Amino acid sequence: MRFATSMLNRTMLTSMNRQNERIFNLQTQLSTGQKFHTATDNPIDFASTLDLDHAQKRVDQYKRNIDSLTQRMGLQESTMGSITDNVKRIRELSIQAGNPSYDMTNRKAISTELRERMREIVDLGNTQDANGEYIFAGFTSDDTPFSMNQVGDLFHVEYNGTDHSREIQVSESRTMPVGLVGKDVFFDISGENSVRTDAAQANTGSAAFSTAFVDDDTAYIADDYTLTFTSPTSLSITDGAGGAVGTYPYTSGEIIEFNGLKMSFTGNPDVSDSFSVRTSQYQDIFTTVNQLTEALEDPSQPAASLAIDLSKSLGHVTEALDHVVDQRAQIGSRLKALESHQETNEELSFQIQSRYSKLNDTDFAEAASDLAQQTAILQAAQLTFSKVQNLSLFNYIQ
Amino acid sequence: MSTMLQIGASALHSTNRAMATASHNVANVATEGFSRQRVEFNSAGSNMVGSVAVGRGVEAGHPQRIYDQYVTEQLRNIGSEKAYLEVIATQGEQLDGIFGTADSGLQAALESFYNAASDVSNDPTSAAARAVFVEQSDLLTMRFNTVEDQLQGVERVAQGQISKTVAEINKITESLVDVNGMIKVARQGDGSARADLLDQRDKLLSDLSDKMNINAYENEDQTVNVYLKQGQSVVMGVRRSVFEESIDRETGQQSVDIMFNNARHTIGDVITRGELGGLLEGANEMITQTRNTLGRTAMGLGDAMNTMHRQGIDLSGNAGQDLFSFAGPDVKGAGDNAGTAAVTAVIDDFSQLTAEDYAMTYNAASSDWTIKNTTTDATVTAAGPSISLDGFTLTTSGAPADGDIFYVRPSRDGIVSFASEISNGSELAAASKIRADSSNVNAGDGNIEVVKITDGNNVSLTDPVTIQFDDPPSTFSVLDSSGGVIAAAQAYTPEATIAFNGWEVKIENTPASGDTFEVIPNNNGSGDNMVMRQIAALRDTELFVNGTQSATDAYTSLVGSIGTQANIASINLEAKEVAYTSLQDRRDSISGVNLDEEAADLIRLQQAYMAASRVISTSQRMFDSLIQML
Repeated sequence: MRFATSMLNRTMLTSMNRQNERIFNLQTQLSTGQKFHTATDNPIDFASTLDLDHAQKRVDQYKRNIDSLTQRMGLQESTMGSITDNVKRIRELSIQAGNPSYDMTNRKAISTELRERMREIVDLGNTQDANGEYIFAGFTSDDTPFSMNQVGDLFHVEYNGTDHSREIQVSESRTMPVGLVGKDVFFDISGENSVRTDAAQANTGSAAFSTAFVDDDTAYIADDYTLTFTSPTSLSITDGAGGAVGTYPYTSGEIIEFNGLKMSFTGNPDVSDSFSVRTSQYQDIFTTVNQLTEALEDPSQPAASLAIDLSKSLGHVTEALDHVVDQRAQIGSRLKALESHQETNEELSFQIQSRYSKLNDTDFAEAASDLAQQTAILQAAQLTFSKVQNLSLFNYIQ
Repeated sequence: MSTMLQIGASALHSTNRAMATASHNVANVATEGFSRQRVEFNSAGSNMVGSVAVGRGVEAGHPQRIYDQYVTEQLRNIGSEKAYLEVIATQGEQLDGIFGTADSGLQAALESFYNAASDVSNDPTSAAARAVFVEQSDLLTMRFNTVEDQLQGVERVAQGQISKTVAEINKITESLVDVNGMIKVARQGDGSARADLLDQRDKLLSDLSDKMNINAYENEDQTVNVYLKQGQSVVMGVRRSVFEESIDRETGQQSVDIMFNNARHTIGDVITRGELGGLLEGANEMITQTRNTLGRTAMGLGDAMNTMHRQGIDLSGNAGQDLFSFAGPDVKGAGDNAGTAAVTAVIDDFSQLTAEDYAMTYNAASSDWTIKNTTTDATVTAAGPSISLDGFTLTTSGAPADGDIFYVRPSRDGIVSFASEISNGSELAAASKIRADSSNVNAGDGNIEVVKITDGNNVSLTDPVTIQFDDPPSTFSVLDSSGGVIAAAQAYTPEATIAFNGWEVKIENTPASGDTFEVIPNNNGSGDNMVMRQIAALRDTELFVNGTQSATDAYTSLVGSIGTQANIASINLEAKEVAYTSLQDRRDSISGVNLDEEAADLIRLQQAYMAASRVISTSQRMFDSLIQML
């Protein structure tokens, strides 16, 4: 082929240009530790690194979520521990109360401690976390979930929170509630021969239940009873079928007894205010303690009947203890689940990072040896260029 | 003797010309587009001296250039491809710069935003988390807005380059016309044009094809005609078209018009190669694709979040307002529409929405509109006043005239108009508007749960509703707050959805007769996070492209697509450069100057010149000795 002078220049320049570009590229790889920096360099791998980065950020968020959830649940777990201790103590006290050698003074002392324990349980139920949130309140976490109203020696505790607490995303497909709500812990405790009370919405007076429980299992007739005030001082009771059970006088805080049930109201009722007492499968822990102290402090109670009452109460207390332990275990198992989620996340995070570095990390050995090679080639090209450039016939025309 | 003198003189004259040509070659060794020239020597024939034929000497022809038409044409074509690819690669790199890396680009802003939403969801009562969310919303919108600024920057540069290129094209065609004129006039003895003029002509053609794809034909008189792909004339001998930037009336896109004989043609879609082809593609496709995809992402996310946020209540118990605001579709009529019609557009479904633009044309004969996707050229024909397609609805009003055009750009203004509407963390409606609770005195173990809010704008959404189980509890009644029956004797199936007033709840386990469940306003529900949890979950919700792409997916695939276009352009460019270089080598091997060759020629010619001089001096000496003899 005929060879034009310009071809020599061009060939040399093109090849030196290419070497320069490769050297620059390798240098960038070596100095940054990354194979590519923009989508143009390597669109497919770049897009993959964006995806991986997204996955990493998501996993990081789950990790944060789990950390915050673990912290919260940790607080609930330890609070549940204290609650369990208190319920255990209540159970000890109710066993102790059965001691036949105890007289009224001993029993009163036990009652006093029982009430103390109950107060503490309510306090624990109103525990706040570092942000001031009530941990057993569910959604309404800025409001005290348990309100307590003492009438005489009886307590009425009401739960004002919600049924559910907020859920936190712990993995792509799984959410977990931040904790138990008070209703689950203290109210939904199974119990034989239990009742629940309710006030009619249309009531205008200030009267409210302070407590209601089945006192005498044998006399108890399970039914849905309606109590209607016929005057501020008397009420009439009807059963589920509308049949009259009887009329009773009313004094605030005084116990009313019928069909094996014991109950008391406080406040001033208006005429035709009505309340209902219904059979339930649950008895809350506070009613159980009321039931216990009521039995212990009844001076007219014969020993045999006291023993029956105490054994019944013990049944309820044992249920309550089992329930609280069970609820605590639930938190424990959730914490365990969180831990395993966290481990999965760590593993995922590791996988993502290793894939990321496989995609985009410079292979230093390879890049360094390539760089040495390219530099040698460039030097050779430069040397050849200067040599060849000197060759010209014009040098010899004198 | 006189013959000798004449022969010597012809030889001197011819070698002189050849040496001048060789010198010309040496002088132009570095001139771009120069073809080496050669002078052909021919015997000048002979005179009859008596019956003997005696040679007359030598004749030198006009300098001819050495070149190959085929290689020259191929070089032009590849040059055109190369210029196109260079522009595409550069545009892609510029857009790449806008996207940035995972740590600095839009994706980083999105991730931080989702993180902030998750943190509020973890801790809905924390004022700090709420403040961070408000700040991150601002940053996110700013990031989108910045992308628009940067896109406009890229667009401005492209626009400037289009203007410059069009001006250059006009300059080149003007020069071509001039050269054509000169070629016509400057004929040599052998009827061929002067070599340097032809070189100049070829250089202009190659410059022109760097700007756009052309077809050039050489006429018999060696002038050239230049046409575009579909036969539009650019240069016809000594006449030419004038190029002007324009907007394509058919599509509303950036284009170029030519004017020839006072007739105007829009030819943007014919110019697919060269710098101009690359610039038009960049402006009309890459930039539009980027802006629309991101615009759709912003609008779709904003819309989904607003819908969710409206299902919530804030810390003061007020209903959630829009978190983000953004403009609707951009609809503009062509400037020369004759009718009085107006068109508006509303987006109904972001998952159906494309990232493309549309042009709708009225057909008076059939009283309907043809709606063309200006990227895919797919068309839909439908009559007004309400036309739905690709996730949006067009509403026409007024009286259109035949051929009236409206340009519909559904997501064009998405990123520029995207703005955060929340300024105070307490206005964040993290909690659901409603909650469901069982009555504290329920006898059964029934459990109620809100499944979701289906209509955050339902006027009765937050009306308190009681679900009361009948006796026996196989059915339930739904009551309003004053005990009025909304629905009676509804059959109870555990975990079946119960839907009223824009909410859905489910009850599980076994409620007892008389048990009640309430769906009530979530007053004081500051510990709830339902809305914020859903917003955080948008991180991976596939909102786009028929529910196959999340915002991040859409972003990643856009970055991948632009990157691939630029990457393929640079790979092709490399290949074209190799081909171009090898063609240049071929051209140079034919037409290029070799200094050694010229030096050898000069030596050879110098010797010839000396010999010819010696012929003349010999003839003079012969004449002298004759004179002395006298």
